[in-house]
Amino acid sequence: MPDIANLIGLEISRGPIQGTSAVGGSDLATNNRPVVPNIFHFAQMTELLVGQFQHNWFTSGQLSIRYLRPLQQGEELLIRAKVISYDDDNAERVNLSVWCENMNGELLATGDASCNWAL
Amino acid sequence: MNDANSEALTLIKAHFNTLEIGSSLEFDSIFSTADVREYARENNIDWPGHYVEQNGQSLVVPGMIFFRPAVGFGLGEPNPPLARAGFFTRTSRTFMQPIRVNEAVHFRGQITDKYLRRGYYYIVVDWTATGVDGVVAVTGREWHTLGWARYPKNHPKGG
Repeated sequence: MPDIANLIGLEISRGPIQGTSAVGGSDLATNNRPVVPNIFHFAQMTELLVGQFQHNWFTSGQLSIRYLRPLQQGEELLIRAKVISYDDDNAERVNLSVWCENMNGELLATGDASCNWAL
Repeated sequence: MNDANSEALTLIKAHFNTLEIGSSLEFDSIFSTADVREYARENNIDWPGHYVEQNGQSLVVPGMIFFRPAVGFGLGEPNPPLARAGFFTRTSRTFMQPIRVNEAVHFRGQITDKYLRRGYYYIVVDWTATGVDGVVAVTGREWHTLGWARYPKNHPKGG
């Protein structure tokens, strides 16, 4: 992991990942194409964050997401995160901006995350 | 509105009206190795990968516990079929300790809000997941619709 003193601006990413998660027998569709449930976005975001923070994520991770538009089955998404600040009360905790987008650069979900960098 | 949409909205509205702010539900769940492996495969997650403790115990993928509490209030049986297939519009999660594979997890959810907005019926659910040691492992808040049907934008309830 990078030095905790130099994390601001650090960018991490995952993907492209093809959206193929099962819909579960519902009528999830837009433009006559089935869509991937938003839980897929959440799964990919947490996978990115667990990869970065590893065990710290399970004991101090926080993630809030707003879903903006669906991913259609077969489309790919990219997940990105960027460290934007240190926590005011805990210098070992970082705050991140998190988002995912499709291959056209359209924003699918956006949110904030935070986690202890070192316990 | 077409007939299918009208029918769905009638069922969704009826279900929405049965849900009360403050009502809660509790249930226990176990995430088996087979459950987690299947979820990881479907969602292209590298498991066990990072999801192993130092003692070799496998951990449940965080995204997997996302869905279960919401199922009880709107998205699962025995609720009306057309009310089940809603979509999540916001999610918030705080992780405090890992959830381990094959260990019981106690979920408690409570409806903290419900409303009709931009043509969709929504509920907001706060929930906790508590591990076998009695310590809260994860807390969360979900915002999701009941069903996919909505009032058209030109309908008085659609704006």
